Amino acid sequence: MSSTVKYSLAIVLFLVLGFGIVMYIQSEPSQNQIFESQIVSLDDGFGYKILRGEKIVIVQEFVPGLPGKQQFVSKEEAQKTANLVLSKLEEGKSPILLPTDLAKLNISTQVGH
Amino acid sequence: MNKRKSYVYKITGLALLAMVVTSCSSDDDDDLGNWVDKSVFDGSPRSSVSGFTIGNTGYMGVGYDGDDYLASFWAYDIEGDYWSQKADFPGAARNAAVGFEIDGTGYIGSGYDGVDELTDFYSYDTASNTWTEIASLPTARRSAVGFGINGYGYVGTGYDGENDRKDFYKYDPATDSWTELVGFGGNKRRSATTFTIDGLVYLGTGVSNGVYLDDFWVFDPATESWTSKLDLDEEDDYAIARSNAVGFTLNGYGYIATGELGGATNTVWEYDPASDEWEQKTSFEGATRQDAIAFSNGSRVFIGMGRTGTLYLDDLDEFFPLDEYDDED
Repeated sequence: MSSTVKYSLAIVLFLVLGFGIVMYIQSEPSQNQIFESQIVSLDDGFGYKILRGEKIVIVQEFVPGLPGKQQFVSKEEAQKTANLVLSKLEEGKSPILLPTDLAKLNISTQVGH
Repeated sequence: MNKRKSYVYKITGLALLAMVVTSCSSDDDDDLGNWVDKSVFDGSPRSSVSGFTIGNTGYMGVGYDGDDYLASFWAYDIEGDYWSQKADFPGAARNAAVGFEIDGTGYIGSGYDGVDELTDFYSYDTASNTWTEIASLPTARRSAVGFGINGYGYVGTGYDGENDRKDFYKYDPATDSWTELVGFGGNKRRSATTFTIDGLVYLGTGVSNGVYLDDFWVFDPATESWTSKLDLDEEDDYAIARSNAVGFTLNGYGYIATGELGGATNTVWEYDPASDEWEQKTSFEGATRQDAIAFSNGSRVFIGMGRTGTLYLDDLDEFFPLDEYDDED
């Protein structure tokens, strides 16, 4: 008997929690949605996507700013570059990556370009 | 026992129903409008950018963000509605440059680096994502007009640092050389606008010595001759004259939108080449702006960037002129 009451209480609590989460997600204004990155595996290396919510805002198949089609040589280099873009966006700054940014991140670049 | 069970089921059912109802709460669908807010170029406001559209990609770069002259260069994917940062523009960071396309290659050159008006010019190869310096424009200028047509590039008007200009130069990619093109009968000016309909280039607007010009011209590249069209103040209700506008073509009509007329404006005028007449369209719905850019692939057009006063803008809107006809009917 009391186990049925406990069971129904647990169900109600669980559902209230779920209800709250749904409300929270829905009330979040889209412009405050958090930026996220996704690393993508490419033929000769790696690139990244920047998303806001489910919306893709930047697709970077090549190292930004560099001439030619130079992909990131490792997942780590793509990730730290994407992280810098995210931090710029979250500070409300431009997502532009400058040559000095890439140098600070020690991004590998092909010789001869 | 049965009663208790049914009680549990009722609560569970009600709660589930509540969840379903909330998660289905309607996202208000925007009314089909003339201007639809597209990709936000997040946090990267810039004005007086330069660019070109090749296929389904709009390219845009350089410009000024209120603090710095910029060299970064971006591609907007019209289908996917996202941006990519491409190879940096190799010349000095600048604004008020011209950009145009010749046979699938992009060109950006001239402009202003904060100190001097510039002559240097570069071509951009979309396939290899590389820039190549080409022959410099014979005379430095900023706020010129530039367009590519029939395998040649044309750059003219603008401001050289002391005077507004009316001269034009023709660029031949085959010989990598510029030659002066005589015959433009309009006044000297800066910050004019062009659009191209059926192989003819229309030029109008712009400003010189504080006067907004209202002459309007068409250039036939086959004969390389300019012909005067009806003035932009031909009808009493015309309010087309302005500077720093964007020009674009859609479905056989030309458009002049946004710009500056004693302050930023967001009005839009449509030109019918058959009748040589203008009609006002629904104003740009984004913030009023000048020094914006338009990307057009012939069937869709996007306007974005620019500034209003000292506030620099970073949004992009798509223009649907056909929806306007319904609104006005």
